[in-house]
Amino acid sequence: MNGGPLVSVRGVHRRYGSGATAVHALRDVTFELAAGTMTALVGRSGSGKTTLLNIIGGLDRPDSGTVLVDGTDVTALDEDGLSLLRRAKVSYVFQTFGLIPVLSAAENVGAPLRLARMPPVERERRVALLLELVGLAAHAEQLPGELSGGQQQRVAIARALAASPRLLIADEPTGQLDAETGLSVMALLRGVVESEGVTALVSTHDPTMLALADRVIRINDGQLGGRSDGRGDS
Amino acid sequence: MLRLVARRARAQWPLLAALLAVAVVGPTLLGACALLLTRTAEQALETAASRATSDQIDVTAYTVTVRGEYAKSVADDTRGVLTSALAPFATTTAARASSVMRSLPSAGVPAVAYLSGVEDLPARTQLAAGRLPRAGAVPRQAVVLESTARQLGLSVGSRVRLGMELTDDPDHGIEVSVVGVVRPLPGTGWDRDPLAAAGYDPAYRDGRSAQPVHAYGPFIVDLADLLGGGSALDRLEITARPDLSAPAGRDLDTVTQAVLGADHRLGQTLGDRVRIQRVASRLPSTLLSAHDQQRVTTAGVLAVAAIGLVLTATALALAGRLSAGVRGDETALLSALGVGRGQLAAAALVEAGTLAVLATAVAIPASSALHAGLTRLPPLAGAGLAVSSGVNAVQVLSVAGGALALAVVLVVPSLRTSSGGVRGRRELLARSGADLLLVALAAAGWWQLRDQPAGSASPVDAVRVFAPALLLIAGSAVALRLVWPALRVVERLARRARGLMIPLAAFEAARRPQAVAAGLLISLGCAAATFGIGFDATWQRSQQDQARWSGRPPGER
Repeated sequence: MNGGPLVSVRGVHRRYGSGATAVHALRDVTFELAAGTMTALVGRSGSGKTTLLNIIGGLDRPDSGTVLVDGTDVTALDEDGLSLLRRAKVSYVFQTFGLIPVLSAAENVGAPLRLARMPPVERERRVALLLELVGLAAHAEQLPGELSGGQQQRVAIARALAASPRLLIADEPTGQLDAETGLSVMALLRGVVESEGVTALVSTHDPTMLALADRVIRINDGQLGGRSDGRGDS
Repeated sequence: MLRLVARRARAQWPLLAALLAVAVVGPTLLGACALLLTRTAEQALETAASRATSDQIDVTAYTVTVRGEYAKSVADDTRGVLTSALAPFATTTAARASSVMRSLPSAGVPAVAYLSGVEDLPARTQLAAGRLPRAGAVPRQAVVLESTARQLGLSVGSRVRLGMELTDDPDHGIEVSVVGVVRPLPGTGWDRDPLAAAGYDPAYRDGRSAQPVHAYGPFIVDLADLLGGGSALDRLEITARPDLSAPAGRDLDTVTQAVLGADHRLGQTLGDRVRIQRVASRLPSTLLSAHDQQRVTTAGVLAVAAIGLVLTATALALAGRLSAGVRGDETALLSALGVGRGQLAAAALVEAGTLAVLATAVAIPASSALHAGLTRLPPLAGAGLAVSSGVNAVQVLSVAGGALALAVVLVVPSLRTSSGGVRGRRELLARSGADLLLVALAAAGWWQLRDQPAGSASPVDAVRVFAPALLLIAGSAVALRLVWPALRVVERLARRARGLMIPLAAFEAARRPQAVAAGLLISLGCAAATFGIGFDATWQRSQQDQARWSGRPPGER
């Protein structure tokens, strides 16, 4: 553990639909994430993992409860505020990679830096560094369609790290990868948490990935079902 | 498979609705153009005929030098030739005749005078004194112009003895009784009187003597008396006017041909009873001019339809490619499950066929409404061409044919397989060849458009129909080939830019193949709009020129 809480989730409720068909995706979820740690969010499909990640990242809003990210109340932000939050403090890695098909690996990594209007020379230096970090320096000019699934996810991680976020949210980042590739991606995430000092919240239902996490939070039917320390504790 | 198609349609109805909306545009345009070329075109010709002025539709037969014993039969036969030429339209005729000059002994000096007979005299003269002549009176009753009366000292009740005819075979003289004095009304044909309605010419040359003589006249008698009285006629003029208030297009074509041949028929009918005969009329040129205008308009409308169809086909091909992309995973899955290409093609055909049927069902009333709306716009409404919406067979066939063709365009992208390197190069070569062919055809079309006269003999001018569409497509294709390297330059600049959104747009444009089709669509749209504006300006100018031209006196044209 590297310090105080970067993320504080308190009493979050989220319900979809109404009446008899209402689905309670999250019920009174409360937890904190310490800065500079990697936390695994574990649960079956439909347990509420993605809903929780989306609320923490400002992609969704809770019906009640608060979420603080680096001291900012995410639930109180308007759309512009949420955009700024996602641009400066929170990054995503999606299960389906989410790369822009017409952009090369390097251009995909550079996209957040373009949003930050970083000068081109500085941007290219940072992109090269990140691609080196994820082991794809030789594939910088290739389009996503020309890369394997594991390579695409590495590009997505490099892109997520590009703007030096405080919080990296990864939703099933190994869901579309084979076990070996998935493990290497998780190892990469583990490595960047340590090298970049970023806080990571990674959802997964793969038990073999849990060993790499500092903490494991279990979620079941929208409720936290227990937590444990990671790194062999799962 | 059919169940899959039905369920997919239910699930993807917004996509299919968008495809249907695109597919409806082309057939609607085609249907409206079909109505313009059938209903409105025929109506335009009929309206042009019904609105023509009398001098544009009158048919006049001129005969010169008719011996007295033939005068009546020549007049009757001439009327018969004109009436039959203008059949089936009801026709009214008006005759005017002037006798050869006779001596006028009572003048005291060498003088001549002549008789005239004019049908519908009350409409051509104003009575100054007395009354109009009656037929069959003895001696013959006549009216004279005020100037003639003044020169000869005539008044109502005067009697004048006209001497022998100045011909090689003269008859006896005749006596007329003046029963009235009249003034000629302008614009009623008096310009064709031997003395142009002056009533008197002190220096008339009759060609029989070297010295000029005094000439007086006309002594206007009843036309039947003149034709049946044995007087030789110097000139006989019969004008026939068809009633074109409710003409049918086919009858107008028949009349045009008949009037063009009337001169020959008159010559055959009259034989040597007259020295010279001629039929003159602006009716054929009026109708042919309307036909020419119709032909040019037809070519323009067809060109618009062709461009519209190309635009729709391009849009639909693009939409088809996009929907094939959306369904790429599903197609791959079905292939993996063992569904053959034939089955996939059949499913695509069923879906496209259904869309074509729906597009036809929507486009028929839509095209009728569009046509009715277009005819209510000022240029067409002002020309009397406004109609309520209606349906005809040509329209239905055009709409159905267009929808079917567009359905095929929609099916093709869904059947295409991804192309590899060698095939890609082949495609590139084929496209380059097609571009070159297109440019060559467009150049030929341009050359033809420049060199071909406006009035082509063919009912529908193929060059005028397809050349604009070819020019637009070729121009757009060539322009897009030039855009490609330009986009590459923009892409290189975008790499060095700071922001994201504009460089991303540049990357998308330069790297996505759909961008070319979208570009083609946009450039074709712009080109079609420019063509439309230019065509409208040319048409307006043509109308103004025609109005100016037809407003001038014949001598100034």
